[in-house]
Amino acid sequence: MDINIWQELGIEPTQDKKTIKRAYSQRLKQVHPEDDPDGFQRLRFAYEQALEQQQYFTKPIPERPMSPRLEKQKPASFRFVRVSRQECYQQLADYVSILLNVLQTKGEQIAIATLKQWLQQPILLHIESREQFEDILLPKLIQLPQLPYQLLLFLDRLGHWRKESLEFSRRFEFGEDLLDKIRAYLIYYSLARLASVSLKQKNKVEKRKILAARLLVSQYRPVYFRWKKLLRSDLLDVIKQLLAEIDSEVVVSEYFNQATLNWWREAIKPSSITWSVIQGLVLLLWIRLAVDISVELNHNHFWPVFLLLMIAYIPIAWGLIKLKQAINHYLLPKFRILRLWLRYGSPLVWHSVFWTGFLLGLFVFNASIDLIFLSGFLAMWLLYGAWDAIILGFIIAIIAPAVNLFSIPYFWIANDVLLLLSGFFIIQLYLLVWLKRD
Amino acid sequence: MIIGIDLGTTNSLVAVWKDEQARLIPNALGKYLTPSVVGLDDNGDILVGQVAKERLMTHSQQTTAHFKRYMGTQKVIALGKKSFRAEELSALVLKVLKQDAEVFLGEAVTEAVITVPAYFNDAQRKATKVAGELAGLQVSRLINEPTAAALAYGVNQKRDEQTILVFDLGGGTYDVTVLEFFDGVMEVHASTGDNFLGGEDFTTLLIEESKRKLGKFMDKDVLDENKGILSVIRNQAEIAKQNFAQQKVVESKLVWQGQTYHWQLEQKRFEALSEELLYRLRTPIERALRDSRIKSSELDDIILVGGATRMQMIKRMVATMFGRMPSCHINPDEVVALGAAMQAGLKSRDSALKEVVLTDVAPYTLGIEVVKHERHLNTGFFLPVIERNTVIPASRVKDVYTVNDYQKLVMVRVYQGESHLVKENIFLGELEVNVPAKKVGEVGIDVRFTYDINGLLEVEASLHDTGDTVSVVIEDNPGVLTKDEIAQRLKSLEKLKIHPRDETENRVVLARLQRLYEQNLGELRQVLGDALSEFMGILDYQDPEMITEMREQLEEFMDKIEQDYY
Repeated sequence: MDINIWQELGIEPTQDKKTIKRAYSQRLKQVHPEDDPDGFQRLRFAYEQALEQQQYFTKPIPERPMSPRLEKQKPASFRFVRVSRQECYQQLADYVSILLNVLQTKGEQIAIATLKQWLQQPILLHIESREQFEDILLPKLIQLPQLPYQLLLFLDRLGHWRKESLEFSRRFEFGEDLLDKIRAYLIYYSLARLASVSLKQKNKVEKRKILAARLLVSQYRPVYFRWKKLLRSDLLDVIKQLLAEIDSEVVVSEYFNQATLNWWREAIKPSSITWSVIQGLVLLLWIRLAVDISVELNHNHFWPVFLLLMIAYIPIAWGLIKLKQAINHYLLPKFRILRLWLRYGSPLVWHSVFWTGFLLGLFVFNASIDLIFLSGFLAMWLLYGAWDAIILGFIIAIIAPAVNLFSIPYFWIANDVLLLLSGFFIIQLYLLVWLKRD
Repeated sequence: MIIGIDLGTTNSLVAVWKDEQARLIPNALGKYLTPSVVGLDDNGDILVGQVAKERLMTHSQQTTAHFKRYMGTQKVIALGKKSFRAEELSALVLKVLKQDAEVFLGEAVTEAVITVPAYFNDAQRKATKVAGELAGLQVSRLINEPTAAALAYGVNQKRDEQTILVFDLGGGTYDVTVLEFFDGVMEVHASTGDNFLGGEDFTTLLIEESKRKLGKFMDKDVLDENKGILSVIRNQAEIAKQNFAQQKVVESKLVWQGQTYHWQLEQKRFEALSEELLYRLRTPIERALRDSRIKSSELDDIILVGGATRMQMIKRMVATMFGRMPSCHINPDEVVALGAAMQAGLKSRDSALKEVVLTDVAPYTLGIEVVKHERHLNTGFFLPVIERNTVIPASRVKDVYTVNDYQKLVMVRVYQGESHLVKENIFLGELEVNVPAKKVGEVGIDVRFTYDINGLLEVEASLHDTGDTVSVVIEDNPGVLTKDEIAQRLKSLEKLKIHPRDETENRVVLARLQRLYEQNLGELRQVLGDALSEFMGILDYQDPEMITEMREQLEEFMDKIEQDYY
């Protein structure tokens, strides 16, 4: 707003607070906030600016201290106990050093109990002293090697730090970081408390939550757990929920075992297998196509063509390695918990099983394409009523018999390409449906 | 004529600026305090005030109290077979107060100033306004309770410049306000509080303590679920709370199914239990002082407002915190209503009040959700637009930019609160802004918040380039009724019959007799039963003189019983 603030107030520039206030009150009666909200806002702006300028000129600007509120540490007067400001500040500082001492020698719970007692004493009851106490205490607390979270949470409850974090981070330059840590700890703490609850006499939902909490706060890798507990996929749902809660914070509490959390993050990730499987799949399909090409195109020079294809086998081998990796990492650990896998294993795993079976049947057992496709279709449909099974069924039901019946020359190319494309199409479809589901 | 109404959690009052002074208006019973209790009688008519309060125990299913706590929420409160929202129940109380005022003034009243706790949020303020509309009152102004109290204290003060702190602990809400008077200006510097802290919470502590003690003799389920027993315990707890000033130990008594139970409530135990609540009283004061940049020693006065400040414990705590005695020379129950009447006088520009201009503040920080680029794209941060304790009316602008390439839509989500994370703040509403698809950061939007003098918020978003504007008065909140809903509820409320005012006195006597009948045993019970049937007989006879005579006798009799009883 570019208005002349002195013009708005109707006075000459001045540094006298009284004059400014009087001018404001005079003008206020003309631009009443009820009748002229805009005029009032202009006046208010001018008034605030004028006061600010006045303060700027009358008071030397204090040096910016380490914590922005340090200048507030000037002790207040306590009329009723009649101690000087200096004395009062000294007393608060004494309290802080005693508290730190108690904290280090006797532990957090005792320190909190001590503080609770102190809060009943006149010096800490005074309205300005708690903040001063915080101003002295906090910079010391955060230098401790291990943050006393329980004590911090107690102070937070008194001072509404988290609820009013805008203010808190204005007061302390480490405020925001500290609050992030406290929030992260709070989640750990609530889970750890939940984990220590006995399972006896709890209903299903509660049991599930307790188990999930136990798994997440555990310092051990999940490998050591008894798998039978994991068979419940609803347990994994709870774990997923809790993990999301942990990850929604800016930092993750250092009390958690990061390796454990990572293991679970992987375990609940439904799409972790996607790309390796797709690669393996695509390359295997490519072999099928390549062999067909070498057989059909040139009967006499099968070997040279096939050698050429062997060079192309390098990427295929790479794909296979990927596939193997995928199986090692994701399939084998899940082998014993098949139910879990059924729910959380990728549908693409089923694709890979299906396509591998299909290729094995084709090359090893020389079975008819139709037969394999049809049995695969049936198996997939039975297993989880998949759309791609139905689509494949259609393709086989229409295209394959057509090839056999009319033996159209070179129709196999179209057939293979169609199969390949439909494979891709199905993968895409799945990715879409599935990403949306989560 | 504009009336001033203090719509409280436990009691409500109405006052008016007349003959150059604020005057409280008595209700049908000749009292200033009308309990904020609503009930249904056996014909399905509405009972409000003392009658309903007397029936809380005897007709617990058809009576309700403390509904102010649910203002601005979707909660539905059941009364018999009907169900109401907090706005409707408040509207019924307002209707009765309006009636009282009309009788007192001898003219129709259509306009009112209603007080709200300073820390009421947008939804709660709107709900209060709706309650006024439902009661057939045009709410010309919502004024904050502590501001009203300060007005009552301050307008006739002789000193021309002073800074005061108002400590307002009502039945269900708690407010702290720091204000300054100078040259006929009353300027609020800071308002803070707690919407869910009040005298009722202290009563609840005593109720729980009583339940623990009674649990030794009675079935716990009965204690928890029987509303009748609960209202007796509540009644006893309230009496104990009031008597702690004089007595260290208060005896309480409950009559249930022919048996009498006695228990004791100790003052010391009560104070120990209240420790947590006292902590909660402290923080808002610290914040108010910090926000107004005033040291406690610079305050000229500390004013206690609200019935709960009668508790010795509270007075003592305030005295220790500030190192001096607070003032409470105007009745803390009535001061808010008096202030509301003054505001009404100011509003109608009464000549005696011409000189005072009042400026208030927005008690909450209001802002929008933004995304921050730190380690990665972090969502859910809060960008303040109007900082708390900004003087209202106020209008502030922040510009924000798109975060994705070719983004077509920007959601402006409005929050209220003091945390830098939106999830810890309160969601108020949102508006959609269609933007041209351009690269990241090329599209800028001005978000303007306008906070009007009644504390209602309007949000406006305009594109930098084109100046296209989308604006919304925040009202998507599920706790706030829409216009259609209001019209619909207005109709259904009109169908309800409020019990005739001139019969109120008799109804109260009847309800009180009935309550005492159930609370007492033996001979006294029989006497009360006889009195009840006799009075009903006289009422049927319809001779006003006889009725008045008997009523007066009965009132005297019942006062005596109750004095002995406690």
